[in-house]
Amino acid sequence: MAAASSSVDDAYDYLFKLVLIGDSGVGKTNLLSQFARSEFNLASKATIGVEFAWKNVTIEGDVIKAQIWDTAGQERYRAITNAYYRGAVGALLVYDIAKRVTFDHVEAWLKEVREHADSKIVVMLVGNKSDLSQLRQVSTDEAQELAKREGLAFIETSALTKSGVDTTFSRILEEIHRIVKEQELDRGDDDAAAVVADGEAVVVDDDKADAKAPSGGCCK
Amino acid sequence: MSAEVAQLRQEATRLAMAEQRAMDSSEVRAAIQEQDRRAEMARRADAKRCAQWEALLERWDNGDDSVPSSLEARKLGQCGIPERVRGRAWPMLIGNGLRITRRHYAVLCEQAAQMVPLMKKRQRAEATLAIHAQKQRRVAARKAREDAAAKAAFFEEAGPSGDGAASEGPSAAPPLESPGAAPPPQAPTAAKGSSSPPSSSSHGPAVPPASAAVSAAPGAAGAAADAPAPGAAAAACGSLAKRATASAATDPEEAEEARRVEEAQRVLDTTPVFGSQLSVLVVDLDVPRTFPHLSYFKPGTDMGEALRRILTAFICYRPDRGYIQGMSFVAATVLLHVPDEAQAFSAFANLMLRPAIFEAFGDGADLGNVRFIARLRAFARVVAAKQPRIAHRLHTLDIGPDMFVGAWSRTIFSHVLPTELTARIWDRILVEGDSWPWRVCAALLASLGDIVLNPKVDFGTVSMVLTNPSILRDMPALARGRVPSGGSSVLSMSGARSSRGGSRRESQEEHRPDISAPPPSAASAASTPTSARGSDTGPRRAGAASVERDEAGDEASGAATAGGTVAPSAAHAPLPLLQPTEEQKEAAIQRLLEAIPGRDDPLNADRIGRMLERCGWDDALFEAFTAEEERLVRRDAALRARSRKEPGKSRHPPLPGVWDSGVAAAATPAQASKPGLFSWLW
Repeated sequence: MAAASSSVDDAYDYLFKLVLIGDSGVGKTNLLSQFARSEFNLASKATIGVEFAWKNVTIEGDVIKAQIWDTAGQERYRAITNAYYRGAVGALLVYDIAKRVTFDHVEAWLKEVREHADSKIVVMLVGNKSDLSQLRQVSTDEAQELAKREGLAFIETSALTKSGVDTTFSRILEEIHRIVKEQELDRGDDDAAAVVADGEAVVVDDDKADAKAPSGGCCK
Repeated sequence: MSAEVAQLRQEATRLAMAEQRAMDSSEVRAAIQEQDRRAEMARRADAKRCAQWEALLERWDNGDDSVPSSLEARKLGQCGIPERVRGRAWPMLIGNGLRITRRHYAVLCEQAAQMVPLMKKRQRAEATLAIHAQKQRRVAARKAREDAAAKAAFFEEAGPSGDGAASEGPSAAPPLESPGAAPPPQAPTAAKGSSSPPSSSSHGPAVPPASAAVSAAPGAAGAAADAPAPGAAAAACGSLAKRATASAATDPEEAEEARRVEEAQRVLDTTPVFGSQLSVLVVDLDVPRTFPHLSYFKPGTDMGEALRRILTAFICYRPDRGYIQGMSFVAATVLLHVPDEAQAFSAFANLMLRPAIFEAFGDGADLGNVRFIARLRAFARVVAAKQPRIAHRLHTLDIGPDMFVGAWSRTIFSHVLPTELTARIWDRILVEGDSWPWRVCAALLASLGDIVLNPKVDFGTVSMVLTNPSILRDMPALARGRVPSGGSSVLSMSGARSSRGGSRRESQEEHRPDISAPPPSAASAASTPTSARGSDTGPRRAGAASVERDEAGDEASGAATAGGTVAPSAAHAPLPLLQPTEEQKEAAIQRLLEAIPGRDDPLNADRIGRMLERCGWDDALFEAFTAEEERLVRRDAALRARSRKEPGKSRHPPLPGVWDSGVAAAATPAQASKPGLFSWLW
């Protein structure tokens, strides 16, 4: 992804790893490119392995480096994503509002996240392609209900028109930032400073703080 | 600030002019002639190879089956197959072990043409049922809430003892309450149990409709999500449909809905899915997303349709595997070179069922099959043994082989490399055999070594380059520092980059991934005038750079910010004026001579070819590691499965890392103090 060049030379206070998940073709890659470099590509290349982009965002005076991972959406790729979830503090679970089946798979994706990711990962349900309202197959209420039931944040976006895209990322990053700040208060600021100086990912879960050290996924 | 910018611009112009002069000198003209001579030689060599291939292909056409495995073909293939004959050479080299005939392909295409609309219809029906189920569930939930509210009111009147029970949900609710009172969060689990064995979704007439909807609806959703159990979903939906028809009494809207649900149910009942046939829906999605920059495969184009037919025909050929993302790139690469569609299909199918590729695409259910994970781990261990510095670096950065090598090998590089390079690599793999994709992975990793090992390049850039090496084509500076002419382009190029950055603490950032600065070896070959003059201005340049960086700040002077990497040296170094220096001439000659081989381009086919020899790949070692890792991974999977059954226990610890195993001892201080065994590579 050519995204990186926009923010290669950066210093940051926090590094947050986010993952994009959801069925194939719901627009994960375009959400990412729209956020990272304001680009939308109707025919973007299918994502096969893992791809990256990152962008710096300022929240309450702290520079947050959001490192966003994007991967293939086909069901069979789910099993090989151990490394994908490692160290992630946020997940954007994307579905396509004009394609029912992608919403029906949300619960399976949630199961996947809860199995592989840190237990305190912040998950946000994202209904993409809101520009296709005339083809809508998933109502906002319904998605909201699911989000409420599962304890997720929820938003509808359009990677095409960029509506909601920045809000999506800033909301999830703000939420993570808030949690991390709270955690820092809990354990005193020294630790936090050390973490930041190392430029390592900040891990939301206290108990799993050792996950910063390379700890090995299935095939690391 | 602006004065400095002006100075930089002036400087750039001078450099460009000096460069022009250098180009005009007689030595350089000689170099141009030399370049022409080489080009001519290359043309002749190409023509000769074409003739040799023609001869081989003719022998093969005449029934000589020994040709593809002959030493002659192998030798020829090692130097790359000329573009003109590739379309015939590939099918010959891939062979047709599956005995796919034209007629076979035609039949598969017919079958696919019938299957595709059915699958689409089925998907629409599933959506209809899911939406309906959701609706029913909401109605039921509303009713449940009302019931609960009424109940709460009742208990409030009756006394405080009922409060706890009401808030705790259905398990604590009095047994006499109707199951319809189950609040949503509890419903899915209860419903799943009832829907998984189709027969058990009993719908006795005694159960009130609302409660049945509660139990059936989420069950349908859950089963649909666990796609492998369409039977269960159908069963759950079946009961739902009957109920819908039963309850649709008077309201015409409801009747219409019931009719649609019934129709959808009928479609589901009459459209069986064999294996992974539903993956045709992903084909539609992926065809236009295959090499979109080439725009050959846009919807409606001949090539796009051919690709779609090949992929759907493959689903019919092997419904157990179906279409797996990544295949489209392999098929498209074949199709780009083999114009005959039936022949392209045959080549694609045969390729897909070659052992190495077959296992890379998993055993059908998912891609996390033991064999392939073991392969990835074994690959990492071979790299750790033979290229310890790279392995160590990747270990430090925490980049696992599954993050990039999986996609490399699965698509035989077609997804991640420029198409012309992919073709060259395929030439080699096809003549050499099955373990070669892995060897090429090691060589490619070695070729990218300068970038991976560059301490200035951080996790993000390394992983970006590894997951998508062809990005280097857009980042020539990172790849090589190859700049067309003079300093001005250096200015504008890096200026454009940095001005977009706008970071606030740039000056203190030591280890930033400096995309505009070429890696060490590339820098030496980067024949910009600045680097040619490098030696005498070294220390000052560093000082200038830091000053420049401090001052640059957030001001709009893009060019000055850019100077952080290259330009400031120009501003403060002694000016060469208009007379080209010896170094400049030297650099110009050097650049011209290197223009063809592209010595330092990590994506140059010849360079990768050299790396194939130097990466120290060892097939025997790879096989031995694979066997070891396979045992390990299998045991791990078993342990994992067991720990999942005992939910109380903490999570099973992951397998140990692989980049460091095997070299853990060797890569310790001793290694660091003396140059590593393979350090001569870099």
